[in-house]
This record gives sequence, structure tokens and C-alpha cells, in this order.
Amino acid sequence: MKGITKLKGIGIAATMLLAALLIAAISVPTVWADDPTDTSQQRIPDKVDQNTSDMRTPTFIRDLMQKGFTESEIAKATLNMTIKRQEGWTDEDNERVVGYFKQVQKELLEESGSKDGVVQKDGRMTIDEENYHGINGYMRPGDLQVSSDGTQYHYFTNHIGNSGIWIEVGVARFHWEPDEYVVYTYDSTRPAGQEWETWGTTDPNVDHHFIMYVYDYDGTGYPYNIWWDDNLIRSGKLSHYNNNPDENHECFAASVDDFESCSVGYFKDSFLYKKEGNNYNAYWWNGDLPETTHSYGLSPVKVNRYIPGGSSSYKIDSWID
Amino acid sequence: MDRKKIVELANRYGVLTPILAIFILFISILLSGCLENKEIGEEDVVSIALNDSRTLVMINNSDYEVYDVGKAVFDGQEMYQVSIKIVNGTHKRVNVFVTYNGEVVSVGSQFPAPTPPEYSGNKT
Repeated sequence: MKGITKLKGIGIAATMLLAALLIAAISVPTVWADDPTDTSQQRIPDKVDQNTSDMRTPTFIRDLMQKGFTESEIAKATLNMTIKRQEGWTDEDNERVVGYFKQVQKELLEESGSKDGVVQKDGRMTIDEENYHGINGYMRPGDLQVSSDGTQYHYFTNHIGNSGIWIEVGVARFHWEPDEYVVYTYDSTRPAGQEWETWGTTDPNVDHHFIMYVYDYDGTGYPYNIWWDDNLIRSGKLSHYNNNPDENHECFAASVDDFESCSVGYFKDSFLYKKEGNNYNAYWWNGDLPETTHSYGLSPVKVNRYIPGGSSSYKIDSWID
Repeated sequence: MDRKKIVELANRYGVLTPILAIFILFISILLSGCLENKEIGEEDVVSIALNDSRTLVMINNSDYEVYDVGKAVFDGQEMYQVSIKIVNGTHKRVNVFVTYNGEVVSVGSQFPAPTPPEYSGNKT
């Protein structure tokens, strides 16, 4: 009888163990991964040290700061500066390329499926909350492959905006003039037709430094500067001081099946400006920010977001296979 | 019942019980997996996207057009993407991300959204 009891005991114990496993299998989520929206843990934003911040401030602004200029005085000085285009880039070049932008916008507004319309697919990293008054980072667009029957246009671009009003700086390539990688800016507060400005052309296969910075209210709006490789290429006024940042690779084709492969482009080493009390601070754009950073690629655009060794902020690669 | 027979029965059930439990466990995991992976179709995705309260706020009773339904990878997870164009003059475009299980994880506007600015600070 002792043998029977022992065997029964083993059977019952095994059954209970398996029942426990069964319950666990049902109740535990099938995907075990870090929840990107988990805000339960306290995050301490990663502040940019003063030396790095100074090194990545345009020479002109740094000189004014060293002379003791206040934010509002710097804003006023930059608004009064004459914006110069790249040497050799004429008004005619600007008008021609602005015409391209208008044509793309027209095609985007066409009804879906119409022969004149285009589809937009993005590879993007963004924060949806409006807490920052500027961004300072690097981009390398890559080849932005275009053709008349493939991917027709690429915009490799940064935005900061709030409530549908934004400014942006980036590089565009159009199949109408595939030899040109055009540096452009956009200001949605401008009257129709004046939103786009072009600065010149650039090499898409090297890192470029960009800055968009919004200043305190000056009585009529929030002055802003856009810098490209230490050149002031646009200034104006925005309706909001605090904005959401966005780094985006926008691809356009006549239909989803027409997109063609393009090389990897990236944004990296970005930090974001945030005013706290009377202090103007800068924080690396990484997972330590209090806001959640989302990234996505709309098929066929692919993205990969990570923090490379030696960097303090996200790098987002985007490409089409 | 003699002792030998009792031992034989106990042996039989002592072994059979865990086998039965393993079988039940296997079937449960299989069924659970099937339910988890049950994908919704594109028609369902559009309906789910359009009925989400955040999407309704973005549409704000305006006319709209669903101009693209596709796949996307959002924060590392593959899912559906529904793009909606608001045709009230602003032509604002909205991206809705829906998991294969029908959960809306994000609703946001897509740049460039040609919105006529209310702000007049820069108008000349």
C-alpha cells in the first residue's frame, strides 16, 4: 500500500505543477518585451553639458552670448540679419525649386488613386508632447534615390511644431532635377506660396549640422532661427514657444508599389532645448526624457532607432530595401 | 483485489494523470496562441481607426478620405497603418496605428499638413 500512495502522490504533484504552468501560460502575455510607453520608472533627463552646448552653438550666437547679450537681444539681432543663400544659388534657382515643392503639395492633395496623385510614406521619430523650443542635431540623408516611375521625391527633414503650425529644415531631391540635393526650409505661418525657401545644394553623404531655435515672445510672436552648417538660413516668428520635435524621412511615389530602394540616411546626436523657470537647458534626445519618443516606418520605408556607442542620443536610420 | 492488481492500477493512473495534464496544457497553449494571433482584416482596421475617439477629435465632423491602408512598424511592433485625409480645406492628414489584434496605439497628424495658419504674426 505504501507503493500505491507514493505513486498517487507523484501523480497528484505532477498534475498540480502542470495546472500551475497552464494558468501561468494563459495569464502571462505572449510577447515579453520592454513596454515603450512604460512611465512607471522615474526618468532623469540627460542634460547636455555647457561645453558641448557651446561647441554646437553657431559662432555668431556664441559671440553675442560672450558679449552678454540676452536671449531677446540675440533674437532681435538675428531677425535683423540678412539671410544669404549659398554662393551661386540664384533667385531663379529658388523659384524653380519652390515650384517643385508646390507641385508635390498639389499632388498630395489629389484624390487617392487619381493619376496625378502621390502616396507619402515616412520613416519618423517624434515626441507628441509640446515641451521643447528647439532642436540641435546632425543628419546625413543618403542617396535619396529618385526616378520618374519610382520614388519621385524625398524630403529628409526636421520639424518643430505645435497645433498644425511648424517650421522645418531639410534636404529634398526631386526626379525632375536628380543631380540636386536642395537644402530648404518651410514655415507654415507664411502666406500661401511663401512657405518654402531654398538655400542651396549639398552633399547628401556627409553629416550636416542643423539647428532650429525659438526665442521668447517679443510682443508679436516667438522669433526663430534655422541654422544649417553654421549658416543662418531662415528666421521668422512662430505662434508657439513650446513645440514637438520630429525627424522624418518622407518618400513620395505614384503608388505604394512604385517605391524603389534607397540607401540608409540618418539623424543622430540630437538634443532638445527646454526652458525651465528662467533657465535655458538642453537635453539629449533619448529614453531618459520624461516624454515617450515614438518611431515608425510606413512600409516600405524601414527604420532602426538605437543609441550608438559613444553617443548620448538616439540615432534613427531609415531606408527602403 | 489483490495487491498486485492495486499496484498495477495505481501505476497506470499515476502515469496517465500527468500525461493527460500535459495534453490539456498543450491544447490550451495551442488555442491561446490561435486566439492571440487572430488577425483583423483591412476593412475592420479602417472601421476601428475611424471609430477611435482620438481620430474623431482629429476629423472633427469634417469630410474625410481614407487614402492609404498599409503595414508599418511602430515602436518596433509590426501593425496596420491607416492614413486619413481631412478634406475641409485644411487637408490635414492623420495616421492611425492599429495592432493586428485591433488595438489603436497611436493617432497623430502627419507632416506636411498644409494647414492655413490662424496666426498672423508673419503675414505681410
